[in-house]
Amino acid sequence: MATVIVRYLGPSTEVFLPDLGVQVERGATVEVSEAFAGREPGAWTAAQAPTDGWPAQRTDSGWLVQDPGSGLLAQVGVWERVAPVTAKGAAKPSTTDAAAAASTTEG
Amino acid sequence: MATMLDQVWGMVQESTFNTPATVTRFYARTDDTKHEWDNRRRMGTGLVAGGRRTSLGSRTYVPTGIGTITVKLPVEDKSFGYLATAAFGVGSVAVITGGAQQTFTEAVTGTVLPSYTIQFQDVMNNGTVVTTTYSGCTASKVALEQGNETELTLTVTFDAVSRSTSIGAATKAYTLGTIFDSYQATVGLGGTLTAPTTTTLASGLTAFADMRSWKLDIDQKISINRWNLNGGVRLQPVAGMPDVKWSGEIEWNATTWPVALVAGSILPWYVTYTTTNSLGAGFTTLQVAVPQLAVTKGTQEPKMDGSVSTFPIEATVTNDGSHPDFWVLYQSTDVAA
Repeated sequence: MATVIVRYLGPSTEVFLPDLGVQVERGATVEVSEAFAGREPGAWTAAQAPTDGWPAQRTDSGWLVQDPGSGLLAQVGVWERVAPVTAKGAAKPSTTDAAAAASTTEG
Repeated sequence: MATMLDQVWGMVQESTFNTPATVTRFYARTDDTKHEWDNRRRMGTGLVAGGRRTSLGSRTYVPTGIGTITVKLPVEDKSFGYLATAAFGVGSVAVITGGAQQTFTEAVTGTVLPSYTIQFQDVMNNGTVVTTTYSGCTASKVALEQGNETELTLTVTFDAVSRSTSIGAATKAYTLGTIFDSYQATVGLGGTLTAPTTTTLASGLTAFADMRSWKLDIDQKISINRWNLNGGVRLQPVAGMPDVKWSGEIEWNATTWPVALVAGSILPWYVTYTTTNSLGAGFTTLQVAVPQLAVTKGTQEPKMDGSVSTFPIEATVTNDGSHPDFWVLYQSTDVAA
């Protein structure tokens, strides 16, 4: 299972991820599954019409829509990716599989 | 598969009104946290005869609807600032030793309150999660309430312009603190108020130990009727003159309040909650301070069964001409809202 290392940026001093059962302090990193990390919001692309729930802008030539992203990384300014996707265990030690490959370290 | 206990709600401030964003703040969910959509069904006028006694279904239709969201939750000494800014309208942060003081008022300088995207993840009985996301959400009513011997709660009602079930569920993450509760509270009433600063709490009032409960109600008087001939898109509500009311209950141990009622007095008031969580040289704290309570109700009501005598009190919040109508002051380890 591929994993991703993400950092909690704040603003709180710490945050609890109930899906993983871990608490992450501000500035610390956590290794999570690729699916749990998700993806950052995407670039604006042209579209024929707005996509429900996606940010959209009307232009003279039609519409621009933006993929809102998913998972932790969709929360811009709160979480950031600090390492590329790796094979499980290749980048960071993991505490438990039951915690969906989550481990925390001080950043 | 979700469980019946995986009911989630979260919010995020919008950078552009009614443009949904991924929610980033999640709070405890209570039975009093609800969302509903009024489809505002209309019926065409006029009678179409035809041996019926009810209206033809083809004569009814739905225009753009209106969403209403109510959230109620205990106030904690972490992560309160974000929701408080949404509720009251204005928030500021100033660094103090060990953390920050956040100051909230309803003294907006523009014509609108901040807008939010609010998402609910509701678990059906079969474990399916239904995700409903509202955008263009503006606080319309706020209640900060301290009941007798219970937690301090904040209730916020939001008006929502748009609703979607197509937006994916955001990943929940909570910051949990110590709940502010009645046992942590002390009250000041009357005397000369020393106004708070960005880094200090209000002070100077006469200690008042008779208060059992209190409530601050704010109607932001936002205009949710901006239906122009605009393709069914409702415009952002503007904030009107808020209606701020205060009420409570006190024990009949002194004549302070009844005398103030008869005299038509205006009294300053504050309540201060202090936890045992360290913050610099002190502790995390929440204070609600009102410079002017214009007393409107409150006369002793002795009981005829020998029980302790208490009675309800009410006041209208007026402005002293130089300060906000009220302050909600929050000293915690949070360094940002």
